[in-house]
Amino acid sequence: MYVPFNKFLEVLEVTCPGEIEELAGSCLVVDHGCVPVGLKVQYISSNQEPFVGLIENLGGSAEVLMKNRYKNKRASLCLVLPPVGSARSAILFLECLEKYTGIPFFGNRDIQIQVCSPGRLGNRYAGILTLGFYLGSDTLRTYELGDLSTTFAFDPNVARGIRMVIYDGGGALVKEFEWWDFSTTSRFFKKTKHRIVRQQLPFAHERTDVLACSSRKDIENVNLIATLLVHAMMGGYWQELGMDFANDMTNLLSQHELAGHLDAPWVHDDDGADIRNLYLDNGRFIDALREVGAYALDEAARIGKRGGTGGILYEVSDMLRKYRTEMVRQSYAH
Amino acid sequence: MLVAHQPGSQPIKIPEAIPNPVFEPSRTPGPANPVRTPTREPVKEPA
Repeated sequence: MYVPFNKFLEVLEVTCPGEIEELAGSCLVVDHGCVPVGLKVQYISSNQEPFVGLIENLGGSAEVLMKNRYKNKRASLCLVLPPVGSARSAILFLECLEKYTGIPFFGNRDIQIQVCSPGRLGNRYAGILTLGFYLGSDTLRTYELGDLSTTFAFDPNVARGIRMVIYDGGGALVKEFEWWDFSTTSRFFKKTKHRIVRQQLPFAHERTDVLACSSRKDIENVNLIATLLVHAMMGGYWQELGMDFANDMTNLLSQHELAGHLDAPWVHDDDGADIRNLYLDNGRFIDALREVGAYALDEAARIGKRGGTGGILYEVSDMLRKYRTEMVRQSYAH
Repeated sequence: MLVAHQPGSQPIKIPEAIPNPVFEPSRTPGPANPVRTPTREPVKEPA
């Protein structure tokens, strides 16, 4: 449940009219066939002062906050934003909110940005999404389970456990965004791929959300990785590129002897699971994340001491850059 | 604070949040052609 986009535009126009005009024009535009971006802003501070004016002008606490049962357990509020077509628009939306509230949203320890993408990724792909986001981020953090615990962690109806990546809670999904599909024709033993742009997403309510994003790069990386993997899963236009990405990430992790961690429980997908299994899986997830994080930071520290560069952090960033470049190239080529 | 340890190496302590070294600004390189300070030739004493 979220406040309509037009209401946000009306309120935010006061402090950033130019940016709002740009956002209004681009909010539904999908970039290079990437999936649209939904955002939830979790404010981890007891002082709600920066948001008071915004919430009042959007319709009051009952309308803006109370209808939503979901939030980070440590957050004093969770602001659910309407989805937009691209990472670029999502970042612009948050920059407008920064100007209105007067507090930084990026790189702020009191703000967790939850990036929501359509489609439910299976466990292995959820692991690739988690590790791609985590290792590709501009800030590396060590997490405690409490940092990622939400009001849905042990909900009897929509238990999501404690994870970096969680599924939707069954709520409505805005489907009116472009979805790039394809068809193939064969002529003289040569196959040609044709892009088909559909005007609706092929999902009912399914979403995969990444918690604890904190920067523009995080939003861009999550959008890229989620697009590649959901297209790989659904047979969309980026299926081949997405499968290549999944294979390359798996191989990269193998080279660092970390591929076994892809079998960890990265996303909880069994509503109504035994509570004991939930606790056990929470522990297995955080252990896997910590091991990968410790390995990456340890390697970076040792290489840095020798005055060199390289290692898994560089390799992941290079890979994300390569796939972003290739996606843009292919989107213009056809 | 996390303690990371690889067999055969000393454990290192990792803070809660650190910038990814991939995105840290590189050192500003020195000038390609540094200005040479002219040196004064020693004056030869007449014999």
